[in-house]
Amino acid sequence: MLKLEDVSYVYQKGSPFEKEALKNVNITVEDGEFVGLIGHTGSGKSTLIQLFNGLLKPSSGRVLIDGVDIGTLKSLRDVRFKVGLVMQYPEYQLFEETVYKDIAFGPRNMGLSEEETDRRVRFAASMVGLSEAALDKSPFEMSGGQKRRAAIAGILAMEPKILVLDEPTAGLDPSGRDEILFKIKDMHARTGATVILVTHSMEDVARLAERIIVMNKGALAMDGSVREVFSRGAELEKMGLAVPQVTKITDNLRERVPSVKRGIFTVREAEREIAAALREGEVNR
Amino acid sequence: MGTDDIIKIENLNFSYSNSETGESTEVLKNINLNVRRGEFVAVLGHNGSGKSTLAKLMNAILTPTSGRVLADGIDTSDESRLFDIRSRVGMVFQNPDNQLVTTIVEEDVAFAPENMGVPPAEIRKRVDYALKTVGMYEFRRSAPHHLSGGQKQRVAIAGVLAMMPDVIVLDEPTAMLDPSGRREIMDTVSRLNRDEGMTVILITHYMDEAVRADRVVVISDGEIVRDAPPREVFSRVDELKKIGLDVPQSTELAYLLSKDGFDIKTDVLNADECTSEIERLLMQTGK
Amino acid sequence: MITDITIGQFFPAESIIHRLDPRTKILLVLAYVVVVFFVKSFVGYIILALFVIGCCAMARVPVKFILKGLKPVMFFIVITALFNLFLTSGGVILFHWWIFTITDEGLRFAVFMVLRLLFLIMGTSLLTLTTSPILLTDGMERLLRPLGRIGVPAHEISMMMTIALRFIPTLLEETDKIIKAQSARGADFDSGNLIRRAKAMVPILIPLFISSFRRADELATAMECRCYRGGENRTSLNKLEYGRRDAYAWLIFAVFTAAVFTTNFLFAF
Repeated sequence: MLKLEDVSYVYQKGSPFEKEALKNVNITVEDGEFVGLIGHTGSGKSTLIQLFNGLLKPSSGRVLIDGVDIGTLKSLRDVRFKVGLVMQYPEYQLFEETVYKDIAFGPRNMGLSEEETDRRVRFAASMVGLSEAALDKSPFEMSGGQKRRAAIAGILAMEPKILVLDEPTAGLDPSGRDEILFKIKDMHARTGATVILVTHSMEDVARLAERIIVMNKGALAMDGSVREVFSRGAELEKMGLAVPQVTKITDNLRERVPSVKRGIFTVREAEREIAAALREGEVNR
Repeated sequence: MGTDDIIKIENLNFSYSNSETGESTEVLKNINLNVRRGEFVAVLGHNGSGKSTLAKLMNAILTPTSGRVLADGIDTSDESRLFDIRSRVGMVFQNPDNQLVTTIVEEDVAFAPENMGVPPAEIRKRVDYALKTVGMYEFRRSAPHHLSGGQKQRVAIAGVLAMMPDVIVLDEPTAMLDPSGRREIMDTVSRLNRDEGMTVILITHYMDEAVRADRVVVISDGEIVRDAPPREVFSRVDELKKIGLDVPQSTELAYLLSKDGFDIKTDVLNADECTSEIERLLMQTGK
Repeated sequence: MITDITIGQFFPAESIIHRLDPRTKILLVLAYVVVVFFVKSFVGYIILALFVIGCCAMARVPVKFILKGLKPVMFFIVITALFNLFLTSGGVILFHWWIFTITDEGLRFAVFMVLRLLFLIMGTSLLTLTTSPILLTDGMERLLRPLGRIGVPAHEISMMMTIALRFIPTLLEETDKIIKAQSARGADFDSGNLIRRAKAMVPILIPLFISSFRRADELATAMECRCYRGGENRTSLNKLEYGRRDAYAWLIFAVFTAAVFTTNFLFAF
């Protein structure tokens, strides 16, 4: 379980450039949840995820992992293994001669045996859809999408209880994006790990997450199920976040047909609702 | 000077050859494409489709393996005209950080005219014009690393505008930006085309950017598979999905409803158009 | 942190020193360095101090700001002082213990050396504090241009400096990101002996090199697309022009130099 209690974070405290990035944030994420974290640049979400694994220390408040305040720990390395963080454009962290060695970097830092490391590397690679042959390649010879997957595997191989991904699909084309998101969903289902997905894309969160946390100006703005959050479309737009087009369309139609459901976010669901409304109109005629 | 087609691509083929193995990989096949003055053309394709290579062929960073590319009537294979081509066909790249050269915004915008030997007073005029056009004039004395991604990319566009080019080619200019940065750039690009009459060629894999264009050229596996106005291109939902591209949710919704047997127009591009189509149907059914 | 270093930093302000032609400032600083080495008496150093403080006041740069910038080089200065203090022979022995001997000559040398280094750094940092990097490189290029005939690539040197200055903040940010990314994979940079720590740098340095090469490659293409072809026929947005104030600057400096040399004759101490 990940818990943030009254966490605030101030950059360059005491200098004239002092900037409050987070104020009094309270979040609890239970084991096995799939949470979408959204907010535009500067909303504090990047700061937030760096607090999860101790890369940053809160200016006030506590970060608890499985009930332990990580501020009281001598070494944060164990926290890093428990909370795996995939940073933005993670392919830039690749450095080894082979993909295999690169994925093994995390497990080796954990001091695992060679057999266990080997098992984890292969498992993580299969999880992101990298073939055995790819493991012996140099990461620098691979395509952009493959590099991204190798980098994510490098975090997965640590088998973290909580996996945090910062914009894992940034810069990928639609099919590359869908592939990565599908793999993450699959991994969540197979390992039961907690997943926190940071993204700008409402469509992506809508497809994957069960719960959405919305950050705005350093504070927690919304925290609820996907449907709850998307039924507050007008508020989201005010924060500069675009709701899915179908949410907008069904919201517009509700003025005319009140029976149309709130918080619709997939095309299929919108199709069902609208088709039903249209057929009902035909019956009434 | 001045044919009507600012870019003319005739029977172009392009292949890379691996210097070690000698193998050659075909990237672009039999491309024929003309871009008229004042047009806004989007080139849509997935990663590895060859669309970025096509961009680089337009201002002679690359030259065709066979066929030819004419930029304002100049053959890009003519090395003696290299700088004429480059100053006519401006190019904006994906990563804004890697195309800004100097430590002050206005100095950077001045970089190209300085290279071209434009007199200082004229450079000043061009720099001010370019920065005002992209809405970055008030940041003219700032350092690039203090700007947001969208702002940096607007400076990059200004840097190209200062050459007074005939056409601007943007190679995935928003791929590394957040939604607000993407909006900034797309608004800037649309305004450039509409208000300044600038010819724009936008290379992208985002369909919501391509819908702003007059014409969408879809590239898949090195070949042009469609060249038509956005309404026509996006109404072919199945076709686009098959080659790994998205369609707007609104278009997809209309498409699904029409497959369900409703009499809905399928060439809608945004939420408002889709809403009014559905409302029209509701009216017909008496609601 | 790296950001604490004020040497090489620009302090934006509106002052007569800021407005001086960068060529004047570069040449003045070079001349100043030479003069500093000719100061031979304490009275000379007092004049030097007055001159530097006067320049700071005219440049509207707080002296405190410059002194803060000395911190990172203090270690170096102290070491130099100690060397001079113990290794200078000759003169009256003031102190002797085991292998350590301090003579009055040594003491004098050590104090002079400290003052000399302090004034060198203060004077030269005044140049970078009052001249924007772009003007500095412009000035350098103009000054080096006559040397082009004997093969000094003046334009290329200044272009390299400009690009370096432009990319330092970008690469620092990138380094920070890579360190964080590798820390998230459990990389340990702080424990173990020197060799282990050096090895721990590999996961940072390799990605940094690779990304720098990629950046360089993309930048080169972008520059070519903007018609870059070296310094030939290049014009410049900012024209450098000598003004009246540049003449005054040289005049004041001449008076200062004369004062320093006079003290060398008048005061032995």
